[in-house]
Amino acid sequence: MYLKIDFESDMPIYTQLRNQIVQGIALGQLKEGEELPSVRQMAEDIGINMHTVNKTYNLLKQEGFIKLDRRKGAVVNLSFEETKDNTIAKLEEELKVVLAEAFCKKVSREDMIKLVNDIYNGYEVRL
Amino acid sequence: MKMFFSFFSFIVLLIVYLSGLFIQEMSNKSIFFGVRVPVGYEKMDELLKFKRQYKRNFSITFLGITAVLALIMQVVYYEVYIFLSVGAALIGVAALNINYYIIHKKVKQVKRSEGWKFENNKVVVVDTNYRKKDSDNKKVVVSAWWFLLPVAMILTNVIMILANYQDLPNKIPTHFNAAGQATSWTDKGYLPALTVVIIEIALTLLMYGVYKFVEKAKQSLNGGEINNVRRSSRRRRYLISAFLVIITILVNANFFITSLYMLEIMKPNAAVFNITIIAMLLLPLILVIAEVINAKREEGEPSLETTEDGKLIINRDDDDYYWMGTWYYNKNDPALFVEKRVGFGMDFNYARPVAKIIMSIVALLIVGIFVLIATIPGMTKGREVSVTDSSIKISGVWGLTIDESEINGIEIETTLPTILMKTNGADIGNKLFGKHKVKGYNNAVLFIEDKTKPFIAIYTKDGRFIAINYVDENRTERLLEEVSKNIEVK
Repeated sequence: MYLKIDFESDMPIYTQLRNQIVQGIALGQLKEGEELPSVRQMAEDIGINMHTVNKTYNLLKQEGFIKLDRRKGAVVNLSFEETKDNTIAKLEEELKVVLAEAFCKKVSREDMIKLVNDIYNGYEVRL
Repeated sequence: MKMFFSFFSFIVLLIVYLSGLFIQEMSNKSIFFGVRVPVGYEKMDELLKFKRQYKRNFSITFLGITAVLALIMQVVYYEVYIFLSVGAALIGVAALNINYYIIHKKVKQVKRSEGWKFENNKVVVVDTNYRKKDSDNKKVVVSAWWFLLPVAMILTNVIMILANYQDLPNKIPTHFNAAGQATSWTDKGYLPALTVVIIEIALTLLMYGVYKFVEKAKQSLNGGEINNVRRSSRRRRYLISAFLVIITILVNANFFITSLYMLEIMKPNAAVFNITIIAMLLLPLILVIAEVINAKREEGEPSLETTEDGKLIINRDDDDYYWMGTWYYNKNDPALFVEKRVGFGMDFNYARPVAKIIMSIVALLIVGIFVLIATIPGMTKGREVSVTDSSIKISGVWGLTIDESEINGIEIETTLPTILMKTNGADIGNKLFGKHKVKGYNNAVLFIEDKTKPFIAIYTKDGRFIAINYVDENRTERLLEEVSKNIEVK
């Protein structure tokens, strides 16, 4: 899949990378068991420091999206050990912020639910 | 021989000329003479005019260089043709760069005054599958298994040498000229017999290293619609890697044939030997032509636009990181190897210390070779052999006088003793000059103009060895007559 890094964005590069890989997995552009480039290779291709890529990979590993295989390097993973309750608790925190902004800016509940449905549909088509 | 070297010079110059003439066609589409231009702008009338101007100027300069080379070739030995043509090629490359730079400046001027805007200017796109197998079942480079072929050749060569070791003569030829004639020999031993294999292994490892770099070098997906840029970039790397594999096989084939001569399994054959060398010369030419055809074909091909969210055009203005629009210099980029943006192939990120060290070594080597060539006329300057009835006097550099009473013997010989080391002398091509340490003598002073021709050997009572000859065998003969008339060996 193509990873698109915007050097003018306010979002840190390691977060951009993480978000794109997570989306890539949801969209089916990255399949389970697929190998990602090595930390060094990814850093050279994008033209950033190796620490930045390392940070992304460690984050993804913590979250369970990738496994670090001794031979293959970083491999996409879809079997999460995290319990559903934990996942929901974590997402609730993030969603609260997003919904707060939506509420303040007068985006209706129906519009938000429609948006969630649309995005989910996009993921389910490919998975 | 003269034909062969002339042909060599011609091919080398032709390669430089064609790469210069089609440099714009071979470059990344949105790079116009080292300047990043918005997609499609390279077809602007104003820019096309610059391209014609460049082609005309470069052709005229190159014609001049070729003419000068042809004139010089009329007055020098053919042994120095190789150095001359390499020198002319380097001057040709310099002419290319100067002509290119003149146009580069003009395009840059236009860019500055018109204030062009770029698509996704600060965005970098990388493909996580760039190096993996694609739908056409091809990776970014040809399979590494191809290197098994040279490895098999090396192994066969080792077995062949060891199996035939007993039958080898006491003097092993170590070097053959293009006609397949041995030009130097060494005493029998496992190390000299296997030298050819050691060189083969070193070269093959080097080529494999370069092959890996072609695979690993930074992907630069920039200058157009992302899928098209990716396809074109992968196609180039595939072509380059195939070229590397073929060159490796040819080099090894060449050494393999040398081994067959050495072991006397095959009679030296100029035709067979030259085929591998000519193939090696023609290959870069084929590569350049293939790439120009490729680029032309790509222009006519339908473009791929299958990105998820429609067309994704990336055109990042990265001119600030390229010196003279050509050489990548970016301190913040960890990559050592990058794709060239002008011409095609791989290049360094010259901001990396490793790149600086390697380039310094290359520069020193080139300067060294030219210093060496420049000293050739100096080495034979003032060389004159005068024979009186009591002594032989050789004047010029390394000159000496040998008294009749010191001489132990004077012979005409064809084989030089094994040279252990050069103490104060110069060996270039077939020429051997100055003081050397040779096997069996205290020291040797050589005035050999052509080591494939017979020479006059003077042996002294204190164990010195002096050898003289000329490229012209008759002249050597006349000198021998003169010496035998005047000098009486006691």
